Amino acid sequence: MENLTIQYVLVGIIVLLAITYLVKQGKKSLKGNSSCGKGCGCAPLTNCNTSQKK
Amino acid sequence: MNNPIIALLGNPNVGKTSLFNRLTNLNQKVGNYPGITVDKREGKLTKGAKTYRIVDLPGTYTLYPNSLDEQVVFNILADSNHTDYPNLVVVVADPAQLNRSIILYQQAREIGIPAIFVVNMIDEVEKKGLVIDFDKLAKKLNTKIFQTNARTGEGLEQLIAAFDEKPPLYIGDFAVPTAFNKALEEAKSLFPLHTEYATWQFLAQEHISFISAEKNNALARIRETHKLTTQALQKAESLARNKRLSMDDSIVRTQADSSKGDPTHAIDKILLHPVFGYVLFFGLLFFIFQAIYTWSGPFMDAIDEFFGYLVSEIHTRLPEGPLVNLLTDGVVAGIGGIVIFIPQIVILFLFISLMEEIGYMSRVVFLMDRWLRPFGLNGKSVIPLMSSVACAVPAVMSARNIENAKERLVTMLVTPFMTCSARLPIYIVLIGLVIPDTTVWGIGLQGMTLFGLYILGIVAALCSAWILNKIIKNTHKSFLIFELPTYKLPDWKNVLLNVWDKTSGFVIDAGKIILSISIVLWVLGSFGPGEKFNNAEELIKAEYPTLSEEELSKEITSYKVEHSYLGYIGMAIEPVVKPLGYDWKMGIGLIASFAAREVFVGTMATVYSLGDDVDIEEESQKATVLSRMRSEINKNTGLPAYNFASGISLLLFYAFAMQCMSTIAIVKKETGSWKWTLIQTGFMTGLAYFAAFVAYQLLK
Repeated sequence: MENLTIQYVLVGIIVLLAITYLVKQGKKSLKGNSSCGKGCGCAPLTNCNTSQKK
Repeated sequence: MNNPIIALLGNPNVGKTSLFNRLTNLNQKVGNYPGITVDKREGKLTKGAKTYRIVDLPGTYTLYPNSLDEQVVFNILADSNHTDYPNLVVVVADPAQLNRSIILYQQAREIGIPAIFVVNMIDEVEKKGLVIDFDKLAKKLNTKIFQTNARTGEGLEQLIAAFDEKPPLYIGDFAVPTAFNKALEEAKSLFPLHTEYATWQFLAQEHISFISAEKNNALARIRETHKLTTQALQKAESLARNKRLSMDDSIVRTQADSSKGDPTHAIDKILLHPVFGYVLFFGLLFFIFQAIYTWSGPFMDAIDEFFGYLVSEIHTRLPEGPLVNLLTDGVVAGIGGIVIFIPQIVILFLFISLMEEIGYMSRVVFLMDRWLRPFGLNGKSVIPLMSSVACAVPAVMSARNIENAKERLVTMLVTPFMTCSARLPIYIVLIGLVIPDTTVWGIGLQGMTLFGLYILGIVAALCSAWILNKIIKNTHKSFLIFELPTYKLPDWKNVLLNVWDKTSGFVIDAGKIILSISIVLWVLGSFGPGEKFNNAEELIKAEYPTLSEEELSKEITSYKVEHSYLGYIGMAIEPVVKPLGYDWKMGIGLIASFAAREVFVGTMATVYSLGDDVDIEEESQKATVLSRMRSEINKNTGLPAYNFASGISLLLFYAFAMQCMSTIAIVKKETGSWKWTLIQTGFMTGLAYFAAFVAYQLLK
């Protein structure tokens, strides 16, 4: 029983790490100055003001 | 004290990266410039007690950017606060195209950066019948000229020794035309930079990302006041520099009749032929796909076997329990799902690197650009598009070779529409279920359907590219003006380093995402709320007391999946998938196959109590699955679950939906953004839903 509890705790930690990693990645990308911004492709966001539509 | 930064600057195809590899050996790393998907190659060189940071700048013809890569070069060289601002620039030149490199050298010097000039590929001077007067060139550029051959290492010692020397003062070659003097004076009052030319550069740039919007607007106002455009300024400089160079051409180099006996010319007559050129290119593509399929097969089987062995070892050595299940079905399965792609990635990038090294990739762009440009794609997009017939993961990675940011993004977004090999098992099973095995005018209906699905993938990719081209703005106009490099033997060191970069990048960056998703999916499929999941064994034993051990085990697995979180999600989404003709069991398959499309068939086999280790490639097991699926009744409709309407609906769903976590992970890695990754996933799934809905409603 004790062995099983330890296993569940370890499983919980690994799963938590996986979820935290995914959430962190998502947050970082969605709020940060990511490389690809809406409306201006994979370009520096500062360039969007002067971008020309092809 | 910080290590001195030596930046390698040069036109594309001058052997700059070979020189970089030679200088840094394996002491290098490849990443991205912050916030953008432009390769940043940086390494270290130690000479005695001194260490230099070597930065391989993206290839460019001038300091006026026409692409995101070229923008990076300007940002580094014009911004003295940039972390990569160099102590010395090494301008690398191709002996056959000295003039273009001279202009780049002059721009770098005049902007105020110490620079030296290197004529690389020195062995080509003789081969091409060139005569270069290096003394006169040195006098003209007011610097020592170095001669190197990056492939053999010739001249490298002298070059490295010069990293500590301070190049002599340089007097500008470009005199600003008088018509622009007033505008320049105004700009100088606003930007008192250390050289007049640096201010001119600021005035002639479309946008400078490292200065404030106010300052950019102020520069724009000066241009407006004097009725100038950035194009006019750039053109004036280009004309003035080229005019001076053409006058000096006889001094700098004398070229013999190099076209005579030039193998490049002769080879191009065939490879760029309007008919044979395409035939040979598509023949080569066909060969590459065959190689990806067949050469990778034994390695993939070996990897598969190794992970199977690992799973059995874990089961043998560790006590049964949730941790072992997580390790085998979540962690090892996740890592296996990453490693299994390595052979395909290695093979594809081996070919791509060889094509780049030999000089054939430029010919591919030349051949294909006219056909793909109307869709907003680039000539180089043909490589990702075609290679995604094998697998979208290496295909998306290969889009990195496209210089234009927008075209690269569009290519990455539409590539997963192409029919990859993972769709094949689902297509074969579903076609076998719902399309009659008959012929029409001698053509098999089932084969025709499969062919139609491949065509559908191509059409979806091109149409989506056309739409995205209208939506996404371009920061730099893309022109197809480039120089066809001469053919040369590949530098294997460069080839292998490139393959290593791509493979390790995939395993480390995309791997973490794939592993995390794999663990989350395992939790959803392995745990469930309530008594039904926890007491599955007792409940099934009580319900089916006469079943054999094997049958009982299959029933329990099926029951557990139905009552797991995954099962409940499948039931929860039933109202959403019902209009497509699916029941909740198929819903479970759809969610589970988010990991990879091919998981659908295996999941359905588990749900239908056929066990969780069905091998669809084995004829007898395939027949069992088909027969079980045929007999399944959709409880919502009372009809066979896999009838013609729901089958076509499922086929269309899998043709369009982004059901592959590895592709999602690699798109995230390559775009550096979850935003575009989620837009792509949403768009593909939305389109899949719409197509499946229309098909089912029309056919039911």
